[in-house]
Amino acid sequence: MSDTITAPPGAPPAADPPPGRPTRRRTAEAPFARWLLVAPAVLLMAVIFIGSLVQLGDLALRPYANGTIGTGVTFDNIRRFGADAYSWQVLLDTVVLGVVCAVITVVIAYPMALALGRMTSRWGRSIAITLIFAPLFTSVVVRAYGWNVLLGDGGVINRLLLSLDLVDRPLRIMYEYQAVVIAMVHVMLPFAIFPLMGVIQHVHRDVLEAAEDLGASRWYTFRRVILPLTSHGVVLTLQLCFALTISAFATPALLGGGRVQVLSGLVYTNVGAVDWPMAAVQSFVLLLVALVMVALVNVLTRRRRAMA
Amino acid sequence: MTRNRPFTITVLTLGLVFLAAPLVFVVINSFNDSSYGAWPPPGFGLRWYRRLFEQDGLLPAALASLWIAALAAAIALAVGTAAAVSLTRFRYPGRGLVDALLMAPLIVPKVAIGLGAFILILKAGGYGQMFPLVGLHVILLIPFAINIIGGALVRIPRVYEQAARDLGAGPVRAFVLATLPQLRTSLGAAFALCFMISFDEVDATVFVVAPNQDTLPVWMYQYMQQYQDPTVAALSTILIALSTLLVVVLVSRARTTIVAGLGGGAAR
Repeated sequence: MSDTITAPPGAPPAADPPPGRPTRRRTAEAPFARWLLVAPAVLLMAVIFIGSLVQLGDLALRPYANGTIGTGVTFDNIRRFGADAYSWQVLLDTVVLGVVCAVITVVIAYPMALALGRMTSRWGRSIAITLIFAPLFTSVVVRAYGWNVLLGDGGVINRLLLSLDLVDRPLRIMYEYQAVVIAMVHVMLPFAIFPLMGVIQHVHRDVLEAAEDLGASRWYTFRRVILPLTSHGVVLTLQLCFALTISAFATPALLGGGRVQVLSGLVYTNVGAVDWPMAAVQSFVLLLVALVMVALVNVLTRRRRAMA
Repeated sequence: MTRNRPFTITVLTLGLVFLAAPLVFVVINSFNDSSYGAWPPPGFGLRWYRRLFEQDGLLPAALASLWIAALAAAIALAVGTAAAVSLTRFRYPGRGLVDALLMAPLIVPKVAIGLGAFILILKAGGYGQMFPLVGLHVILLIPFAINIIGGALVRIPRVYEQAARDLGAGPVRAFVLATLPQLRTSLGAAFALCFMISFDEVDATVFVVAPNQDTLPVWMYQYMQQYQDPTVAALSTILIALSTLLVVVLVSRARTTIVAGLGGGAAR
């Protein structure tokens, strides 16, 4: 029981051994098949993915002066990053943006996932799921354009507010922090709703009925039963949204209009300015932030599991 | 359940309006007749669609994106399915490590992958060619393919395959005849999802494309940085129409599979 609940959203299939099925025989008779089967994927990953990261590491340690990248190994670029107050500020802004967007996304996604789970109408469910999928299959560039139409000074929302006399001059949303947050939440919402739906559906009906039989109110049941049982999924979803936000680059660039600077944007700028070693160092810093967050979540969820 | 009706309806409606709003206004604005896309539209017409067909780099970019997405999705699905079989059917030392490696692109920031791939491609002499872009997309897609197919494999009863084995079929023959047919919907869903992810990929791709080599999202990204007119809206409307069609087909045919796969894929 506790296994099904604490399992990550959507119960990562690869990690779960098929329960009660005889795997023994197959393993014994096909010692090489398992390696043969993963080999192509592992090979591709090793050559392209690991290869790329190795190149990035090499680049980060190359000397750089006056627009040329030299040969040899140096820690100058790391020192340059460390000494650059602007980089640190952007790093801080990136992490804060990641946390803000992740929290807002999950706060919106959780009740939506809960509502979807409670929906009884088949038609309603299909329409809702289609609407949640639709933006996922629409380029972030397209969506940035859509937000531009909605949030711009002469955009839909400002026209509406002006005509209703709610404001006397257009609200400045576009090319500001708010626009980036709104668009990022929009990008991540589908990525958060589906896993949360998975964990919420794993909460056993019996537990809810038991709570109801014992006289718990809906809100009490939610707070003391559903939320604790799904907290693991919530933490993982937060981590995912954080990772997606800090590595996003097109959305902040298009909707932040240069005012909202994130680390991935600095990387792109530095690539254009031929300071590739600096771009590589900044990429690694971003990777480090993502890994720290994963480690943090692992520690958090392991402690939770140990307590359960 | 009836007690939660108002809550359910309010929450879902607000959320869905938020999700649909930018797409709806992209579509409306694509028919805007004004010269710079003023809002509200003074009139409606097809001028931005005509403008779209006057864009030079657009058709090559669209074709490149189609090819890359189709190839990358096919390759990711082939190697991902094989890997998923190995990861779900066997337990062996090092499996956790392999699993972590194959899922890693979900956690590593796209800019890091993009910039690294750019240098790798430059050094390998493939800069400006299409094949390296396919390779980059394949590694970004593999985690999604594995999650969807792996999720389906765990749920498929293995009695048929075991029966086939008991009746004398070899392991490959048994898998192909007994298990593969049950995977059909999942394979379709995984291909569609991978295709769309690749077709929309911009965060990593933008580092790797040569100046004369655009994919559709990169073309749109660059156009939007220079102009704010509804030409992009016209193109977007066409893309929204196509992807909505695909989503409707997917949701009606393979909802549980793709939802589970995406969930598993997303939350690792």
